[in-house]
Amino acid sequence: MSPVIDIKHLSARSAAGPILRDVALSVNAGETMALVGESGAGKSTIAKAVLGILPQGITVTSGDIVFEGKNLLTLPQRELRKMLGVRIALIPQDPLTSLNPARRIGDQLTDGLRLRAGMDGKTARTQATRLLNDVQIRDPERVLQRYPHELSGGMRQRVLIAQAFSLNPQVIIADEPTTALDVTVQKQVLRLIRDMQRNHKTTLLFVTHDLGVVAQVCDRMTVLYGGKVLEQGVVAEILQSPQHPYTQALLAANPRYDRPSQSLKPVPETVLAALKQELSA
Amino acid sequence: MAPTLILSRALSAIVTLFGVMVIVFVLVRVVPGDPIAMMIAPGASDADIAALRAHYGLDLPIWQQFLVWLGQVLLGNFGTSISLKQGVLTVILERLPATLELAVFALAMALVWGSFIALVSTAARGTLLEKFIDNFNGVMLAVPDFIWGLTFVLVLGVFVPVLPISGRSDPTIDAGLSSQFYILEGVLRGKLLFVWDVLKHMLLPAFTMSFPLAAVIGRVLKNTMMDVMVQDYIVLARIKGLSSLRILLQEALRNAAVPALALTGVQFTFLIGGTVITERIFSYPGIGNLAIDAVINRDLPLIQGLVLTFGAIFVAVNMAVDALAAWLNPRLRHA
Repeated sequence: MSPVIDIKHLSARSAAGPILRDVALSVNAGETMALVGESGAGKSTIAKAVLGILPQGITVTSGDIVFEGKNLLTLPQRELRKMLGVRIALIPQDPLTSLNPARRIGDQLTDGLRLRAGMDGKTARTQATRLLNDVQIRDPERVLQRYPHELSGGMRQRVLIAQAFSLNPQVIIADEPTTALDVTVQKQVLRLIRDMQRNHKTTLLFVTHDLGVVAQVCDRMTVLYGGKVLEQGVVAEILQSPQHPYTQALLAANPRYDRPSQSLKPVPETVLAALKQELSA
Repeated sequence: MAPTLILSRALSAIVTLFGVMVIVFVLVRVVPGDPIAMMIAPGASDADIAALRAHYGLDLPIWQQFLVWLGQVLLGNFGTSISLKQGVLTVILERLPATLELAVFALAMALVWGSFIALVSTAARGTLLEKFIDNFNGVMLAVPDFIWGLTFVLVLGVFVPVLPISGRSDPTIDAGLSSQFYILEGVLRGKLLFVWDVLKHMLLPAFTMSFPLAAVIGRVLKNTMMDVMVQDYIVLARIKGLSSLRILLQEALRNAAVPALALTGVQFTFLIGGTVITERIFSYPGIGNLAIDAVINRDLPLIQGLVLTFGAIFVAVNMAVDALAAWLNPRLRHA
C-alpha cells in the first residue's frame, strides 16, 4: 500500500533552535495516524507544515511532504490553495475561535460547497442540512440560521467536523480536536470523528497529547519528543509493549482512574536527561 | 435593537439635548459682546437702548430668559434672528440641507478612501508598500483640515483653476428646485447637469473635510484588520482554500469594521463641527457658515438654535452608529 502522505527527512527550525529533526512519517490510505507528544514536541508543527500555515519565524530547512505525487513544501501558493479544503481539510483545535463570529453557520458551512464544488445556494443548503444530520445535530435547518455564539462548544465542533468532511477530502488533519471540550462531550465528538472517518474512508492525521484518545480512535501512532520521532507503529503494539524508555514513562504517567490513591508519575529525570543527550547528538 | 434599548437611548438623547441648551444659553450670555450694541444706531439714547433690551427680553434674569426660551422651543418656536430678522427655524432649515449633503458626501468619501487605505495596507503587509501607505496616512492624520482647504483653494482654484472654490452651485443655472436638497431633488428630477455642477462645488470642501477622517478610519481599520487577520477563523478560511480577497472582505472586514465604525461615528461629529471652518473657507452656504455670521453679529437666538441643531445631529449620528454596530456584530444584538 502506497502512503497517502509521505513525510521524509523533515527538519525545521526557529530562531530558538531546531523544531523538527529529520522526521519521517507516512500515513496510509484510510488509516488514522496519531501524532503524540507533549507541548513543544513538534506535532502541531508537522500538521501546520502539511497545511502550509507555518507561522513566521519557523522555516523548513530540509525534507519533503509528498501528497498525491506533489511536494507540498515546494508547491506554489496557488496550487496549494486548490488542494486545501478539497483534498486536505482541517478539524481545528478550538471550536470557539475557529468560526467567524459575524457570519451565520449556514454561510460558513456552505463556503466550500458553493465556491469550491460550484453548487448553487439552494443545493449547497440542502447538502449542508444533510451534513449537519451526519454529525448528529438536531434541527439542522435552524442551526444553519444561527450565529456561532448561539451554539455550544460541542455543537460548534460538530459544525467544524461537518465542514471538514463537506468536500470529502482525501486527508483530514485533526489538531487536538477535543482538547477544548468538556470530558463528556469529548467522548461523543471522538466517536463521531471515528465514525465519519470510517464512512468516508478518509485518511486521518490525529494530533493529540492524550494517550486515551489514541487508544480509542487511532490505528498507528508516532511518538515525538523535541521534534524527533522516537517510536512509530501500531497503536495496540506500542501501548502493550513500548520500546522507547520515554514512551514507557509516558504510559506510566497516565493517571489511573481506577486507582485514585496512586500518585502521579512524571517522566523520570533520567529518561529526560538521556533524551536531551540523544537530541544534541 | 430591542424596544427598551431604543427607549433608553431616546431618554438619554433628551437629557443630552437639555444639557446642550443650558450650556449654550449660559455661555453666550457670559462671554463678552452685546447684541443690542450691534443693532443700535449711533447716537441712540440710553432710554432707546433700554427699550430695545426690554423688547428682546434681555433685561430679565438669565434663568427667566432660559425658561421662556425652553418653553417656546418645546412649542416649536425657536425665536427670531436678531441680525436676519427672520425666524431662526426658517433660516436654519433653509441652510441645513446644504450642510447635510456636504457632510454626507464628505463622510462617504472618507469611508471609501479610509477603507481603501486600510485594505490595501493589510493586503500588502510585510512589504514596502505597507510602510509607504502607513507613513502617508500619518501625514494625512497630522495635517488639520483647514490647511488642506487653503491648499486646495490655492492649487486647484487659483494656480490651476479646475474646480470652483466658492458657493454651492453656478448662480447662472436655475434648476427650479423646490427644496434645498440640491443633490437629492436634482437626482430625483433627473436634472443631472445641475447635480454635476453642485457636486463639482462640493468636491473641494468635501475633500477638505474627509481627509483627516479618512486617515483616522484608515489607521484604526488597518490596526483592527491586523488583529483579525491572525484569528483562528481566518487561518481556517485559508485552509478552506478561500481566496485572499474573499478572506479580506468576507471574513475579516466585517469583524474589523465594528471598532472602526464606532470611531467613525465620533469622528463624523467632528467632521460636522469642521463644517464651520470649511464652509467659511469655501463660502459654502450651510449652517456652519451661518454660525460664524451669527457669532460675529452676537445673534443670540440664532446661535442657540444652531448649537441645538448641531447637538441634535450629533445625537442622531450616535444612535445611527449604535444601530449599525448591532447589525454588523450579531453578538451585540441582545446586549
